[in-house]
This record gives sequence, structure tokens and C-alpha cells, in this order.
Amino acid sequence: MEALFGLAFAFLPALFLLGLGTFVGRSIERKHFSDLKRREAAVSHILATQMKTFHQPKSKAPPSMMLVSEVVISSDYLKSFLGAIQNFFGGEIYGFQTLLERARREALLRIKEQALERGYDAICCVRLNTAEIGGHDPARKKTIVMVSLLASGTAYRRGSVEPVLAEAIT
Amino acid sequence: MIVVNTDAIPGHRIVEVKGIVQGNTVRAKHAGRDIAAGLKNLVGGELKGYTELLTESRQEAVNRMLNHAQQLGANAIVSVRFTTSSITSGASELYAYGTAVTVVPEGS
Repeated sequence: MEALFGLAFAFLPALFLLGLGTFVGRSIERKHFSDLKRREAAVSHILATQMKTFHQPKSKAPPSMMLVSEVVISSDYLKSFLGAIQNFFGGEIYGFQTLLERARREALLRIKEQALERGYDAICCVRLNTAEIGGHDPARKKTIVMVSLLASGTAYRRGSVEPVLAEAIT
Repeated sequence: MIVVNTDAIPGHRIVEVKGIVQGNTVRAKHAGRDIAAGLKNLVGGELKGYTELLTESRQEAVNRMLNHAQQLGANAIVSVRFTTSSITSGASELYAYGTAVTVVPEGS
């Protein structure tokens, strides 16, 4: 009985961190997803393409402008723990997939919000790159599991559809 | 200076291509920020310190690229791209490069 108690005590810190990841980590993720949904609805009218050409640009408009956004999203203890287990056996790691999805959506959303703020209504040539930071925690001597993204795009004003004019410009 | 990451600028015509311009920077956050990020790594969420690091690096790299373009006498940069590389733990390089050009408004 005492040995069992001792064993449980030894694992207590790990269990506490797993609990923290399960409850706090999940609630942060859920909150982020609902926040993304709400903010994406506000900028849904902004057209984003990854084409190098401007789709239906307005003939008389302020000059286009490059917009850049950065986002770094951290994993939580549970995700990292399950990821490490899955990594051993191989196969898809679902926890990290949602992490990347959140980071990409957030990065795209931030350039859309910048576009809205500056009075543009379309973005083309969207590029989403992962950035390398090499996060390292000196206290725990561990690599920080995270996703860092750098998104860029060119904002412009989209005119009402004028097929002849649009063709002439592009 | 007009800066875009497309090959052309709507309403403008490229009259002269000056060549590639670039800017880079290697930056790191102090150890306190790294420790804070390590703690945040337990519960998840955005690592604001590292986002800030990327923002500062990008601004610095773009500024250096703009200076380079100004030296060449260009008035716009097209096809801008970013790449990053990690040098050591906690420090990263951000490199911005593009093509400096001279543009005139369409119809002039």
C-alpha cells in the first residue's frame, strides 16, 4: 500500500501537467477555434487568392500594398505527450494537425484584418511559410513544441466586374 | 516606395528593372522570454514573445531591403519573398528579398 502511494506520488507532477494540458489546453484550443470562426465571418467578403495576378482589379484605386503577419502557436503538455507516443509507433498525429490548422487560419485572418483596416477588399499572392525560431526553454532544458508561421500577400481594391477592363490590365 | 509580392502592380507599368535587393537580420529574445514561452508550452496558446520576435525581425529585414532599393534609385519592389533559418536555439534569421524596379503610373 505504501509502495503504491509512493509510486503515485512520484508520478504526481507528470499527472498534474497532463491534467493541465487536458483541461486548460483544450479550453484554450476551443476558445481559439470559436474566436477564429467569429473573426473570419467579419472578413468573409475579402477575396484571398494565391494567384500571382490580380483578379478584377479596380482601374482607379490607391496603390496595392504588401501585408505581412506572424503567428506562433504553442502546443500543450497533453498534445506533446500524445505526440511523442504516436511518434514512436508512427502514423498520423491528430493533435499537431489542429495546431497547424489554427496557426494557418490565424495568420491568414491577420492579413485579412489588416486589409480591412486599410480599406482594401482583396488579397492575392498569399504565401504561408513556416518560420524557424528554434524555441528552447533554458529552465527545463527542452525544445519548445510550437508552430510559427509567416504569411504575406498583396492587398488591392477589387472593382465591380468590368470584363474588358480587367482583361486589359491582367 | 510601393512594395508588393506579386510580379506586377495594378495601375503601374514597370519601366526599369534594377535587380535583386535584400535585407536580413538575426535576432533572439532574452532568456526570460524563453522561460516564459517554456511555461506557456504546458498549456498551449499563442507565444506572444516569439510572435513579437518575428514581427521585429521582419520589420528590420524589410527596412534593410528598402534601404538597398533606395540606394539603387528604385521606387518600387516587386516579388518580395521571406525565408527564415534557425541558427541556434532561441535565435532566428529572417531574410527578405525582392526585385527593385522603377514604375510609372499607367498612361503616362
